[in-house]
Order: sequence, then C-alpha cells, then structure tokens
Amino acid sequence: MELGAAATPLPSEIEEGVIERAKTGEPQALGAVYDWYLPRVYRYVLSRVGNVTEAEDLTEDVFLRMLGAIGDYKRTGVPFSAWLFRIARNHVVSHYRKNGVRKGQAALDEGMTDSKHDPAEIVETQMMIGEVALAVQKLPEAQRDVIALRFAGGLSIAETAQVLGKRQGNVKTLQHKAVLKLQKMLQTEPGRLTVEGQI
Amino acid sequence: MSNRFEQRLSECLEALFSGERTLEECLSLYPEDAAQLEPLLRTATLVGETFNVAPRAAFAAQARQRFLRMTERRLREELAAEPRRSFVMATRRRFLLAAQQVLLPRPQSRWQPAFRIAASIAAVLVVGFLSVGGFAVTTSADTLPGDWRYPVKRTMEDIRYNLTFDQSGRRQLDIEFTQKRLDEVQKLAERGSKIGEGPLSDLASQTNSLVTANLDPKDAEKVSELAQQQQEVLANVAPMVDPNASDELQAAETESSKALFVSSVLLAASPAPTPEPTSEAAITTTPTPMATAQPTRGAATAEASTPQPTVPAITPIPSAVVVAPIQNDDTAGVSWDAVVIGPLSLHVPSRNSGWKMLGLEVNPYGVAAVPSLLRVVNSDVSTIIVINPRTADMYWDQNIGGSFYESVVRRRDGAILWQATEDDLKAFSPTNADIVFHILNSIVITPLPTAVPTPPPATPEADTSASSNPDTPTPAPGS
Repeated sequence: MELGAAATPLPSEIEEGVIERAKTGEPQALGAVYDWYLPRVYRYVLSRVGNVTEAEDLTEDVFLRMLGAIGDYKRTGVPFSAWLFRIARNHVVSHYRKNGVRKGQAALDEGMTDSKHDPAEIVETQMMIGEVALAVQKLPEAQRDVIALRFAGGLSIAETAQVLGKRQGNVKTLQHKAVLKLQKMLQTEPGRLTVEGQI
Repeated sequence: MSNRFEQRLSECLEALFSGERTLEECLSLYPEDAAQLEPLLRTATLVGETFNVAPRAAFAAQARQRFLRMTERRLREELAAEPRRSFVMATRRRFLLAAQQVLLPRPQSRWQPAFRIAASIAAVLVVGFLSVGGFAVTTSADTLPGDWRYPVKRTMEDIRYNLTFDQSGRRQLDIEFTQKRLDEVQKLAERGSKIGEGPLSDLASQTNSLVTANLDPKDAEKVSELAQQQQEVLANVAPMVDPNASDELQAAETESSKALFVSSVLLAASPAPTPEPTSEAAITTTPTPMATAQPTRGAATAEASTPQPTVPAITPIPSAVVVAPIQNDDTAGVSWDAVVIGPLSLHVPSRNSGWKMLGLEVNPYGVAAVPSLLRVVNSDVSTIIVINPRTADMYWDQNIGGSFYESVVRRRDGAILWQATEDDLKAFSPTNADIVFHILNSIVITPLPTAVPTPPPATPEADTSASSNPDTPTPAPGS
C-alpha cells in the first residue's frame, strides 16, 4: 500500500505559483489545487466523521469555502495546506457541534474499501477498518485531531501545529500519546501488518 | 516519555509516510529504541493504511465539476445566460403540480396609517359634497379614465374600501376593483382611445394588491379567471397602448402572471370537490406536526384520536427538485426562485441576482435529483446557505475577514423547532442577513399526501389543512 504518496509535499515554488493563479480564479490552477488536495481533505474529513456520504458533503463544502476565501489567503507564515486544513477542521468541528459526536460508531463504511486490494484482502481490511475507526473515535479530541491531520490528511508535524495553533513539541506529544493509546486499544501484534520492504 | 523518543517517533513516522524509509530501516536507525518504536510504528501504519482510501471516482468528478463551475469566469458566463423559455414553462407547470402552497408576502395595508386617517376625514367631506352633487355620484359608475367624473368614481371606491374593515370584505373589493380597472382598459380600447400610463399603472397596482394580500384559497378560482382574462385583454389592447406606456403595460402583464401563478398554486393545493383518481393536480394533504426525513404519507393529524381525514388518490410527487422563477419579487434587492423538493418548498435568490444553487444537476426537463444538501451561494462565494432538504435544517456560512463563520438558522431537534430571529441573523452578520431571513421565512413543509385506493370525499378538515403551515416554529430559546 502506498501509504506515503498522499503526504509527499508539492514543491513550494510550484505550489506558490499555482495558488497565486488560483487566487485570480484561473480554472486550470483551481483544478490543480482541487486535484491535489481533494484526496487528502477527503481522507481527513472521513476519518473525523466516519461516514462516506457525510464526508463527501463536507469535503465539497470545504472546497467551496476555500474558493470563497482564497482571495484573502496570503502565504506569509502559513502554508496553503495548513490554511486549507484549518478550513476543513473548522468545518468538521462545526459539523460535530451541529450533529453531535456519534459515540461508538464504527462508521467507516464500505466506501473506504481500497480498490487496490484483492477481494480476500478487502475482507480483512474491512475488519481492520471497523476496529481502527472505533479506536480513533475513542481518542480525546486533541489526539484525534492530530491523528486525523497527520495520518489521514498527510500533514507534517509543522503543518499540523499550524492548523491546530499548537507548538510542534505539543503535537509530537499528542501524537505519541495517541499512538500509544491506539496501540493498546488495537493490541497490534508484531507482524500482523507486515509488508515486506515497504509500508 | 522523553522528548528524544517523541522526536524519534516523529522522524520515523515522517519518513514512513513520505516513503523515504521502510519500517525496518527506521528501526535500524535507532536500535536502542527499536523495541518501543516498533509497535507504535506498526500501529501508526495500520491507522494510516486504514485512512488511505480514495474518494469515490463519481463523487470526485462531480464535485470537481461543481467546484470549477464556481470560478469567477464561469460564473460570469453563467450569470449572463437567461433561462430557456421552454425550461421556464416546463418547470412552472411541474411546480404548479407539485407545489402545495407558497408563502405569500404579508398583506400590506392599502394605505399607510396616517393617510388612512386623512382619508377617513376626506371621506366625510366627500360624502358631504356628494350629498349636494349627487348627480356626479350616480353617473360616475361607468366612467372611464379621462372623464371628469372618473375621480369621483375612484374616490367612492376608496371610501368603500376604507369603510370595510374585515379582510374577507377587502379581498372581495380588491377582486371587484381589479375587474373594474380591467374593464376600463378594455373599454378604452373599444372606444379607440390610446391607452396611456395611468389606466395600466392603476391596473398593475390594483392587481398587485390582489396577489400580495393573503389570498384565500376560496377566492383563488375567481382570481385565476380574472388573471387569465387580464392576460387576454392586455394581449388584445397592446396595439392601442401609447408607446410611452410600454413599461406600464409590461408591469400589468407581470402582475397578471403573478396573480395567475399564485392562484394556480392555491388551486393545485386545494382538494378537488370530486375525487379524480387519475388527477395529478388534485393534491391534498394532511399536515403532520413536524418535518421528517421521510414524512409519513397521509399520517396522523395533530389530534391522533380524531378519525383521519381521507384524501383523494394522487400521483405521488417524485423525489425531485423543481425550480420556478417568482415574478416581480425583489425582496432584499434580489429576484427569487421558488424551489420545491418533495414536501419542502422555499424561496432562494435567483441566478439572475448572482446566486446559485450547487449540487443540482438539472436535466433537460428542468428537474434535478434531490441533493444530500442544498447549497445556495452568492457570486463571490462569501455567503453559503446550506439547507438539508430532508430536515429543512438551515445553516448560514459567512466569510468574515477571510474566515468562514457559521450560524444555525433553522434546526429541528425532536419536536422542538428553533429558528433564528432577524436580529439574531443581523447580529451574526449584517451582510445578506435580510436574504437569509427571507429564505427562512419562505420555508414551508407539507407532508406528502397518501394515495387512497377508494377515496371518499374530502372532509372539511382536509380542506383547511391544505392551506395551513404545519411547521409552526416554537419561540427560539434565548432569542
């Protein structure tokens, strides 16, 4: 599984140029921004709401908000990814406020099936998905934020810190605590998820 | 746990997720921490893999299309386009079939209060005058604009209106006076006179007062006939209209269209006197106390112990969105469309005003599938209004200083319906608060009717329920 593909950063000078063009409303540039960030934003939102339909609606809203606010975006201090995920996080938080947290929801449904797996793997993946989603939902809010931004949104520690308005050291601590808790909850056995040579 | 370990864990995770290193390579970098790192890295990997799912291809493609449509250039192009006439007519027809009722603007006083006092005094004086000059009164009834007795005729009408205090009586007078203004226009044309601005302007404003009043369904048939007659007369007299009065002619046509539209909707919402199993237009309803995602068809009335009123058989309304323009409504400075989504109807700012509904893929017949969320956005996407078509919950997102803030506008929680007040909305953001408030006020939910195999005649309860709004809000807590 190509775990790292989504997190590979776009070279900053390229991204900067694309964002500047996108701010003028140029469709090609906006399309590029959309194509690049859609999977990451979608994964982040899905990891937070745990429901494909809701995740799709919210993801679309995030890009709509991005479109409405991109004219005000200035690169100074905050990279675009952090700025966009801040929009996404605010929207998800707002969504939770409106709809309430669904406790104990093993909600990542069939839409999460990775098409790159064969059918046998899918069955096993589905089981893991339920377990993992439930475990993540049980984390404290701050830790769940970090896990979703880091592991689903593919943000770096620095970007995650900027989205959450925390120091990088705090994010590392939260990440550590979250992974420890997840490990206990999931009781990960060595070798259970071994992918030789590559993860 | 030390900062050093957290740092190493972070470095390993960054390296793993970026694909720079494998898990084994990470562990080999820090052999002294390998035993602790390994389970954590495996857990993180498991979580990362779990979330590594691609959005559905269909969603990604459709959402991309909608996203790009919102770019300014495309928006300008789209805003420049007028809706096709065939689209407007087709959607209008479907709307009339589907709509159960629309919220009409609040009835407005024919005269302003101060003017009414003055008018009452004037009425006394006029009556006194007429007692002396009774000739003018008795012979003014058939006069036409331009005649010296015409002002007397209009004054007498004003007196009658001013001395009528009940709404029903005034509605009858509105209908009567509209008929008179129409007759005058027709007679002027028959006499070969040029029709100037005055008679047409009077006809338009009189018709307007007719449809902006809270029209009773019982009067809808009269108004419908009158509006149709008005359209015919205006079409016939058009060659006789003074070129300088073309705007007034257009205004009169618009008002008659509006009257026809409103009365047709009310007629469609009224139960047919005799059940017609195959009729699509005979839509009757039994309101339930609240909106639900899947309204109970023909379900319980407010009083469960009361025998349920029966309704005529109808063709079920499809789960589709129907959009139709509203003529001559410029509330909050924008033009408006009426939108019907199953049992939910509401008004939204029209495309001509720079607004757009997202998530709707309208087919060539003017009908769209019901989206999971209806999003109404303005041209610069600084205002986003989100409406859940299944619950009618409504949220308003406003770009304030580069960030979006959200306000709940309407929310049903169990049996409690909360609605923001106009002050709530203005306090949140003065920008477009009036538009949001108008949308909120326009929301009407009418449960879908049920099909009854062998329907007996409709009961009076069913008649009255058809024109009532079952979704009466409770006072907003803390508002």
